[in-house]
Amino acid sequence: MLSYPFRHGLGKVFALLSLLLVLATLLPACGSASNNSNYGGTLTVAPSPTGDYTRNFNVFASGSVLSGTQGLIYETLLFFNREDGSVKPWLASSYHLSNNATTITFKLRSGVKWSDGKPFTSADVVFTLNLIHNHPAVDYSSLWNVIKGVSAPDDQTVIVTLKQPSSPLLWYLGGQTYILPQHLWSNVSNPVTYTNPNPVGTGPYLLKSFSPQLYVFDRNPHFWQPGKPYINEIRYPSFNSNTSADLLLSQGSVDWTGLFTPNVNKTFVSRDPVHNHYWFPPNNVVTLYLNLTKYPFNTLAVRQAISAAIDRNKLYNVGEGGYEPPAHPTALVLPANKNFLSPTYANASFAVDTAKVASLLQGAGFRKGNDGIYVDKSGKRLAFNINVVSGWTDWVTDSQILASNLQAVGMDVKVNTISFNAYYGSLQTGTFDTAISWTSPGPTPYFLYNSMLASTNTAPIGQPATSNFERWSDPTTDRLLQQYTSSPDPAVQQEAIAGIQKIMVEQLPTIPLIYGATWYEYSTAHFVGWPDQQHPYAMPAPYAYPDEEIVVLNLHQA
Amino acid sequence: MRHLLRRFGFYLVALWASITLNFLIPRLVPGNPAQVLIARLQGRIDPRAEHAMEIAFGVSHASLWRQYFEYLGNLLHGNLGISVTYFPTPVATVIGQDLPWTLLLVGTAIVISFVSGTLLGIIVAWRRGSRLDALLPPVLTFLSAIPYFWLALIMLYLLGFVLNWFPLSGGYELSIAPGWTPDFMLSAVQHALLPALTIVISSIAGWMLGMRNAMMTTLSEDYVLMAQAKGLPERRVMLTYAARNAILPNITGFALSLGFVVGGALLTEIVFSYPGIGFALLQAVQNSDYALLQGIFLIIAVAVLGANFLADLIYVALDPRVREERS
Amino acid sequence: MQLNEGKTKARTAQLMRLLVLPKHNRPANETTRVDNIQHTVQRESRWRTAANWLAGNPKVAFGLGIVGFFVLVAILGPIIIQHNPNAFSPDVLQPPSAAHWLGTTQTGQDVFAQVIVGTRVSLLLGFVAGFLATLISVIIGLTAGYFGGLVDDLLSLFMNIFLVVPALPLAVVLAAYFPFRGPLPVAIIVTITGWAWGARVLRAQTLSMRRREFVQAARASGETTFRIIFSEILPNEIAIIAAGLVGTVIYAVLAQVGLEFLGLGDVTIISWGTMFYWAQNNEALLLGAWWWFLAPGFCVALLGAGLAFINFGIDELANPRLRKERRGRFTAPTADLSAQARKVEA
Repeated sequence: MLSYPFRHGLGKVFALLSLLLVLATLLPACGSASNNSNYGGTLTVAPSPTGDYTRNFNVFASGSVLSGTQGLIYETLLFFNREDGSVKPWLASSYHLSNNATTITFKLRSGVKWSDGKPFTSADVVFTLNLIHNHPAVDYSSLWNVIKGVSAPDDQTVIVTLKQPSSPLLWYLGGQTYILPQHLWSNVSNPVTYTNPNPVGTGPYLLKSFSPQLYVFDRNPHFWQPGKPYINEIRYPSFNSNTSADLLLSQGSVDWTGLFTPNVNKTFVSRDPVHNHYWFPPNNVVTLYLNLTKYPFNTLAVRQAISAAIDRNKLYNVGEGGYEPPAHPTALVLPANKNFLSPTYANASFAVDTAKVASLLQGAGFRKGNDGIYVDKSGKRLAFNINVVSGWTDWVTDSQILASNLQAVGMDVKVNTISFNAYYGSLQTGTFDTAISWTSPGPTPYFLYNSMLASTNTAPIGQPATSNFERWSDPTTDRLLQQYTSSPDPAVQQEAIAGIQKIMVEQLPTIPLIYGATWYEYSTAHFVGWPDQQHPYAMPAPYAYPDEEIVVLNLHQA
Repeated sequence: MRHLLRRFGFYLVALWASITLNFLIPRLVPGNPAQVLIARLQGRIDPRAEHAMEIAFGVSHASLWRQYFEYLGNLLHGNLGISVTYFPTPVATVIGQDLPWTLLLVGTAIVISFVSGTLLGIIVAWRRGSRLDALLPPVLTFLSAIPYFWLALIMLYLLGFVLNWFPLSGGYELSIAPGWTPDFMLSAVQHALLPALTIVISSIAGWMLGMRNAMMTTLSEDYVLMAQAKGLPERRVMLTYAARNAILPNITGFALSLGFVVGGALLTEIVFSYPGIGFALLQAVQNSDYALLQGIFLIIAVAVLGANFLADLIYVALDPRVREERS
Repeated sequence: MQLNEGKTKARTAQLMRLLVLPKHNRPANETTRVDNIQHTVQRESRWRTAANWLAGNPKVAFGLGIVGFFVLVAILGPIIIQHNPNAFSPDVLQPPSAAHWLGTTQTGQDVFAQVIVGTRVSLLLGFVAGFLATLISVIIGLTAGYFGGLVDDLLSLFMNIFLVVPALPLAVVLAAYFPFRGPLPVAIIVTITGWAWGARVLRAQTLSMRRREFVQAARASGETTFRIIFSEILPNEIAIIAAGLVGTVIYAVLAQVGLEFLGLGDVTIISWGTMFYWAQNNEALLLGAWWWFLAPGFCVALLGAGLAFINFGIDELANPRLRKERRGRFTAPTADLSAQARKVEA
C-alpha cells in the first residue's frame, strides 16, 4: 500500500519530506551544543592489574575504590596540574588565600547539579569536610590537623579557617578532596565501611553497569561543562597480571593504560607505530635513604662519597630500561618544577667521580684495607646493606647496580631483598642501614621536601616515622619549610625552596638517584586529545586522580 | 560405622586445627594492613588517622587469646569479616564472587583429566608391551614434569597470541553481560578452554600411570585368570573384572583432588588473568589481609576435609574388605 | 595445582600395591630373620637381578643418565662457564649466538651461564628438601605404624592435618611472611608441605608389617624397639621409601620453581626459578625472547622427567608385575599374564 504513492513524483516528495522529518527529530538528540562528529565512542581503560572488582565507589576507600570514582564521578574544588604546577578552578570558580595564609575562601560555581538533579551548594562542601572530621580514619591528608573550622555564609561560598598558616593545604583540600552529596551521605551510618554501590556525583560520568570483571560508565547528561564529555562510554576490564594487560595492549584492545612495560617500543609501539604512543614523565625522585642516626652515614663526607660512586646512567639504562633518567641534585622533579629551580643549580648534575670518592673517604680518615674495603681509624670496615622489596624488580636490579658500583670503590655493600612488610617496618622504625625508596611529590617541590625532610615527619629510632625515614632533623630546613607554608606569596615561597635546594645539594640528607616515572601508554586509533610532552595538561596515567577526569574530558573521537 | 564416626571426629579436629593455624600465621608476623595502606598512600598520614584506620580494618592490639575467641565466635555466626584488599567489601562477598569460577574451571579440568587419564591407563595396560605402552607413559610423564606455569605461558603465547586460536584473558567476553544466556555460557566455555587444557595436560600423566600400574597388578590376579579361563571376551575381562578393581585407589585420589580444586588454581589465574580465588589469595597475602586469608583458607580446609571424608565413604562403600579389616 | 597432583598420583601406585595385592602374592623378597643365610643369599641375588635388569631397562637408565648429567653440571658447571652470570652488559636481549650460547637477558646477562649456575642452587635445594622431607616421613611414618595405639592416633592426626592443608597456598603464605627471603625459607616450606604423604604411606605399610612373623620373632628374641624398626622393618620398605624420595624430590623442585616464579624466593640469587621470575617480569615472551624462558623450563622438565623415569624403575623393581616382558616370547596378552602369575607363585 505504501509503495503506490512512490511511483509518482509526488511520492518522491513525500519520501523526502518524511526523511527530513525523521532527521529533524533525530538530530537534536545527538548532542545539544554541537553536531560535531567528535561525539560518541567507547573508551577502554586498564589502570593497573588488581584482579576482580568489588562494587566499591567509596571515595575514601583509597586502596580499593574503583578507578574513575575519584574524578569521573566525584569532583574536587580545584584542579592542580602536577606536570607544571598550575591551578585551575573546578567546582570552585575561584579561591582566595588570605595574606597570613590562615583563611581560605572558595566561591563555588553556579549551576552545578548532582547526577540525580539536586543542586550542588556550599552545604555539600561543609558536610564533606565535617564528615572527614568526624571520621579520622578517612582523613588521609590530615586536613583537620590544620583546619580549625568550616562555614558557609551562603550557597556559593565556603570559608575555611586554619589553626596555623598553611598554603600547602590548598593542594589537599582543593585538589584531593572529593565533594559528596549531603542529601545522600548524611544517611550513611559509617562512611568508612560504606561501599556506595550506586554513586551519585557531580562528575561527567555515571555508573552504567557493574560485574566483577567489567564495569562501565556512561555520560552524565547534567554535567556542568557545556558540550562535554565527548565520549559516550568508558569500559574498565579487569586483569590479574601485567602480562595479560600487555597482551591486550599489544593487540589494540585497550586505549589507555598505566603499565610498567619492559621494552615498550618493541611490545607496544612497534605493533602500530602510527597510533601507539607512550610518555613516561617523571613524578617523584627515587632516593637512597641513609639512616643518619647510624655511623658512618652521619658523616657528610661518606654521604658525598657514596653519591659520587653511583653510576646513575647505568641505573637509568640498565635498571630502568631507559625510562627513568638520573635525578637532579636538588631533588626537584624536572621539568614539572622548573619554575622553582634556583639559577645557581640550573646546570647542576650528578657525575661518577671515583677520584673524588677516594679523596673524600681518605679525608674522613678511611684507609683501604687488604681486601680492598675501606676501614676507619678504629678498624671498622665500611660495610652496609641496601633494603629493597623483592617484588619490585626494577628496583632490585637498581640495588644490585648500586651494590656493584659501591663495591668497586671499596665499600662492602649487600642487597637485602625482603618482603614489603619487613621493608616498610624497617623504614618506619629506623632499623635499616640504607634503603631505596620513593618520595611523596605534589604540585610544587614543597611537598617532596616536607615529607622527606621535615622534623615533624620523623621519629626517634624504634618509633614509627611517617615519611622522614632517614631522621633528618635540621632547624634551618624546618624554618625554610615553615617560611613556605606561612605565605601565599610566590616570591617568598620561591626563596624558601631555593634555600632547601642549597641544603639538598650541599648536605645530602638523602641521595637522589633517578626519577620515578608515571606509566602511560595510549592509542590514537580511536581517540585524540591525549596529554603528551608538548601538551602536559594533566598527569597522564589512568591511575592519577582527579587527572583522569581532565584527560577524559579532553578526549574525543579521531 | 564406628570407623566412619571416628573418621568424622578426626575431620572435625583437623578443621579446628587448620582454622587455628591460619589464624596464627599472619599474626606472628610484623606489620598490619593499616601500615600497608599507609605505605600505598606514600605515608601522608597522621598517627590519629592511622589508629582510626586500624580500628576500621579490624587490626586489634588485644591479646592473641582474645582475638582468637572473637574470631571463632564470628565464624560461628557466619561472619568472615571485612576484607582489607577490597575494603570495605565483606570477605564472604569477595569469596562468593570468585569461588564459582575456580570451581567451574578447575573442577571440570580435573574431571576431564581423571576420566581421560584413567581410560588411557586402561588402554595402555591392555596393550602392554606394545608401542603405545612404550611411548605414552614417558611422553605424558615428561609433560607432567614441566612446571605448570611455564607450560601455561608458552601455550598462551603460542596458541593465544601468535595463532589467535584462543582468547587471551578473562573468564568471558567482556562485551557480553553475565547471566544464564547461551551467549554468555558459550563465551565462558571458550575462555575456559585454554586454561583447562593446560591443567589437563599437566596432570593427566599421574592418573594414567596410577591406573596403568593398578591395572597391571590386577591383571595378574587369580580371578582375572579365572575369567580368562572361562573364555570371557577380552573387553569384558578388562573392564568389568580388572578395571573395576583397579580403579579403587584412583577414585580415592580423585575425591581428594576435588578437595584441592578450591585452593589450587593460583598459577592458572595469574597466567590467564582468569577470575578465581587463587589470585584473591595472593593479594590477601601481599596486603596482610588477615580476614580474606582466613576466609579463603577456611573454605579450602572445609572443601579438602569434606573431600577426604567423601573419599573415605566411597572407599568403604566400594571395598568390602576395608569394612571387615578396619572394624 | 600440579604440585599436589604429581604427588597424589605417584603415591596412588603405592597405595594400590598395599591394598589390592592379596597377601600370598607379595614379592618374594620378604624372609624371616631366622634364616640368616638364606636371607643374605636372597639379598645378594636381588642386587644382581637389579643390576641386570637395569641394563635391560632403557627408561631407568635414561632417567639415571639425566639426573647424573645434572649433578655433574651442578658440581662442575660454575667452574667452566666463561661469562659471569651476574654481569650486566650492553648486549640486551640478544638471541643465541656464538658469543652467548643461549642469548642474553633484559640486562645483558648471559643466559647460558645463568642456567649452569642455577643448576647448583635448584638441584641442591630440590635434593636437600626432598631428602629432609623423606627423612621426616620415614621417622614419623614408621613410628606411627609400629607403635599403634595412642602414638599412632596422635601422629596420624598430625600427618593428616598437614595433608589437608593445600600445599601451594600454604607455601605462598609462609613464604610471604618469612622475614628474610632465600633458599632456606623455600627449602623449609617445601619440606613442611612435602613430608605428609610419604609418612602416611609408610605408616600403612608398617602397620601391616608389624604383624609379620619375622617381627614377632625379633620381639620374642628381645631385640630393642629401635633395632626392630630400623633394622628389620625399614629394609623391607626400601623400595617404597626410594620411590617416595624420588617423588618428593620432583615435588621439591617443582614447588621451589613455582614459589620463586611468584617472587617468593630470593630474587638476587640465580636459580632456575628466579630466572623465570625475571623473564616473566620483563615480559620475555612478549618480547620474543624465547631463549630466556625456554632454557630453565626445559631443564626443570628434563630433570623432572629423569626422576620420574627412575621412579618407573623403582616401581618395577618392587613390583614384578609391572615389569615389561620382552616382545616376541609370548604370542598373546593372555598368555603373558598367566605366565607372570605362575612366575611369582613359584
